[in-house]
Amino acid sequence: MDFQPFVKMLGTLWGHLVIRPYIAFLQRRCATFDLTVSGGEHLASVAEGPFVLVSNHLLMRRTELWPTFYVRCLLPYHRPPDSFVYRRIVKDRFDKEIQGVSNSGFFDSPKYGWQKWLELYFSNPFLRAGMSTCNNMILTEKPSVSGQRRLLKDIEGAVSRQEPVMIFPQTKEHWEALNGADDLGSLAATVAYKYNLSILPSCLGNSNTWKKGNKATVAFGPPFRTDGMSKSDINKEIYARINCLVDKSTKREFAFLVGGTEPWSESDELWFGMATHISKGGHQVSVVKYAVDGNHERIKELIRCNIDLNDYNADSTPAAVNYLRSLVPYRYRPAAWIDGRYRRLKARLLSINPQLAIVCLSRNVDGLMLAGACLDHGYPYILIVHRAFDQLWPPDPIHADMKFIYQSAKSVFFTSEHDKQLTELQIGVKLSRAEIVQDFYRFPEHGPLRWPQGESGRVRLACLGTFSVNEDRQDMLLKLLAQKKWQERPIDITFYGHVNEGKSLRSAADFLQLNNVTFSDYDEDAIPWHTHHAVVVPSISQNKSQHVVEALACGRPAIMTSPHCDSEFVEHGVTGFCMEGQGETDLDRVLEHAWQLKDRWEYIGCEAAKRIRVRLSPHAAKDLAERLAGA
Amino acid sequence: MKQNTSNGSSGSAATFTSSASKTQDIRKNIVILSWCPDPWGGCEVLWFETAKCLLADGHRVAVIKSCVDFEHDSIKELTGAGISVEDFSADKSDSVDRFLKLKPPSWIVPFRHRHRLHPDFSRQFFWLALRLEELKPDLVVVSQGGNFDGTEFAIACLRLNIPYVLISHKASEWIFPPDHVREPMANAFFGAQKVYFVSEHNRELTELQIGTRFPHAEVVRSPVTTPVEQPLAWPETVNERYRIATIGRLCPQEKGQDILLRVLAQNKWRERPVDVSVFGRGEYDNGIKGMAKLLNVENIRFAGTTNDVTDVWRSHQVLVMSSRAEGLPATVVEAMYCGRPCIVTPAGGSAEVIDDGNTGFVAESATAQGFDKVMERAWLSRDKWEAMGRQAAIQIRRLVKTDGGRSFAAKLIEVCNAR
Repeated sequence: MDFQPFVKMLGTLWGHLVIRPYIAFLQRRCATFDLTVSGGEHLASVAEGPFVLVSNHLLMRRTELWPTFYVRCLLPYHRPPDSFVYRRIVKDRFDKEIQGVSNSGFFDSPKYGWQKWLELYFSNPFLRAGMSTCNNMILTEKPSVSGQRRLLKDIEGAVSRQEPVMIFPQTKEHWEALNGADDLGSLAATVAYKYNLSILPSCLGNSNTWKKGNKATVAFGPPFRTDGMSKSDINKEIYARINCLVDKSTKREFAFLVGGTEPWSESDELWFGMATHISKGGHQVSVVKYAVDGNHERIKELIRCNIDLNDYNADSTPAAVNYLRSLVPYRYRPAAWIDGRYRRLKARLLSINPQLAIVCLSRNVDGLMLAGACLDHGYPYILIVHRAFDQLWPPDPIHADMKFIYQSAKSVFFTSEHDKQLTELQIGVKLSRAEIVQDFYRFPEHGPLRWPQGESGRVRLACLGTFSVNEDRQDMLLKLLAQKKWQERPIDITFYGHVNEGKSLRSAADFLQLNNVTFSDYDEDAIPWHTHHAVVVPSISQNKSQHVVEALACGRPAIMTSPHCDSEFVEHGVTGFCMEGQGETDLDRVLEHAWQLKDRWEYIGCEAAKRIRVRLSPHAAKDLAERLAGA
Repeated sequence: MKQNTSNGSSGSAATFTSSASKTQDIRKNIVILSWCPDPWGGCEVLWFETAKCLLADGHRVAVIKSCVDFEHDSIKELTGAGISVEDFSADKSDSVDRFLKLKPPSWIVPFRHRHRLHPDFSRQFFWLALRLEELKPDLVVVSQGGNFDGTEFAIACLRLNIPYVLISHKASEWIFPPDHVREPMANAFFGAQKVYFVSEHNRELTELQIGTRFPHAEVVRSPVTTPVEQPLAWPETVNERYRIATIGRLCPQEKGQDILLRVLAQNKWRERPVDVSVFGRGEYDNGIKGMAKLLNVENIRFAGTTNDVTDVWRSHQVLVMSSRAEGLPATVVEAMYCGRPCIVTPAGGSAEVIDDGNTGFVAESATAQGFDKVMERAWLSRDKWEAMGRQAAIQIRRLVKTDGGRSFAAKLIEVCNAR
């Protein structure tokens, strides 16, 4: 039997009987406040707990995020709407409907202001009854001195009755509140100081803090009443108390948010090493990753280390529910439905409630969503960026977000100077908190291998990569080899990659009639350095890869080009051949130079094997992990 | 099915099918399918000029294009001349579709077939197939902005057994077709009656990317849109400062503005009496301006878009193009027509029209190092720029004709008649 028409009819009925009347109701309500509100984003779901507004929320820093803020406050979602993604996905609608309200001075004008939208808020029929128990709503704009005293009294009364207090600071900027420009922020700090309350630098949407012990959650800032003490002394004391609270819990929670959609890649080794090390140190570690493959060896090891693994791609919503949701016209769908992946990511993050999130990006413009989730929840985060490409630039729609995300990070760690400089160029800002750290490398257990004896004096080079030509540029090498001079020389090149990939590359080699080129599947157990004399790296994306380190450690020189030849890695003429540049001619130049000195390769290889183990630390992950855990 | 036909031109497309049988062998029905991610791009000049020539010769022409802006001057000109222009990317679903969502729930459909539920792709191409069957063209001209972005158009023609020719306006060394694209791409190229490239470089690169030679490939040159009879007078230096222009979409991964900025950020270029004007806009505006600010490049000016290129060359001495990927840049051709030497990278066909050291300067690679060298070389021979510009004007008039549209129209008719 075909249920489809019936299901469709049900969906249409739902739209007509429930959603539309509700929207109309909201619109009528809004009309009384001279507000223009429309669309499905106002569809309320179950409200959970009171919401808390504080002046130190990160969102307050950016005026362009205010519209989101407005929606967030206005609507009692049980989870805050997905502001970061929301802005990106439904930007046009968002700009038209919401930003218009905000830009017209919604927050500032006495006509609207906080009071008005709170009334609007309470007009919501789906509001939970629990909310009304909070009687202490303190709403004011720049209170006078007497007003401040009265407010202080009110707050003190509420605190003595063990009632929650909600404070709505009238300030636009975060730092204004902290510098005492915001009287209410200061007021809150004073109360907290006076009554020895826990000062929780809380954030919006984090209702867990509220639930714990029913204590007042206040914004903090320098107090405006000093009671004989100097401001700086009180400040010191307040911040010391905060630090004390933090220090009390020796067990910290770290969340690794891992970008990229591959089950496992080379760039995952660094965070893997860090996560296992931190976990062994007794801290709580969680990993949030796209598509966790339970059969992967590394994942199994993570599980053995008791690390909490979360897959934000896995959707637990029943398919039938998803189908019913899909029947609701797009414009009536709540924001929470629009991007389930982002919603799940935020939900996981909220349940982990980390003290520090470590966002690992395989490429500098990928996975910004992960950092966006931290920003939305107000969690501090650091970024670890593995690569940046000349051919991958942030377009204008995400340019501002990317810049903000990089600037808001506690630290940004790059694995090479090139990546740092390129990222700074791309976002147009010098990153003061950026640092270069060494990537994680595994050294082979054995020392340098015996120099291979080539068949009839032929030189064998290996080129290792992923067969992703756009990044690894094996095509440049093929074109060079097609030149007459290279055809005449006794040289063979083996390209290593994944067995099922590289058809384009193989056909290009056939097309160029290259007989001295072979393609091979990369096998971790059968390393190519027993039979190959050197590694050639056509693209900067593989310049510092695990393969190159392995080759150097096995006593094979590396031949590469780089925009900034990093002598720490490959010293030109001493441990390999590295020339400045990125193009085909530069590669030809360095290959030619290497070829002229091919008699010295064995000696250079030995030197490379010696130096690489000294210059690169095998404990890069451990060092970085200790640094973060101790910070 | 709703047709997104422009005002006043819906009739001409419909009359294709009922053309008079007498003139059927002379008058051809040509349909142009143009894939371009922007409302108008440099890759559309060739078919635009060709369509006008075909119409003037009495043939019937219809255009189906992505992202049509019916207010654009060129589109207005086409529709004014009676050519039907339809928007491929406009929403083709009707109200019933939108409400009822004519698709089974995705969990019923086996996973491997779920992509078929994608509402845009299938419906757009279903619509295209219907339109092509309705129009019954003698030849379809598939114009692609790159070298494999119009593959689906070509495959649609192949499936419907409609003869088509394929034009590729750009090939990028940075965009190698991945394995899953290679096979349909090869089918699209080999199924075409003729394959046209705008430069030898693009032809060779595409052949390398697919791994086969194209016996039916040919290089055509886009017509010059603003031909000047004689090279313009050499602009005098203002306050003894040289004025250099770079023209093109602001898109660093293709046009390489970051390469130029990195070169200009060096001290030697800061101290030299040079002003660089950047003409063009794009979706990377903020990024590039931020980069210039970060690198503290002060002698650069973002001049926005310009309608009259000759105006630029009245006040600027040299064109500089640090592109990573090109076809044959129209800006290079225009600058040379106006008698200005160009400093370019080897990307695309620039090196085919510039004699390095005599009519311009060609870098050895599209990298900051390579471009730095060529800029240095150009600067050292700045006294020869004027003479080089004169030579460039003579050379380009020999290599690229102004009537590219007409000659291409003749080629198309030849293809039609050969069948």
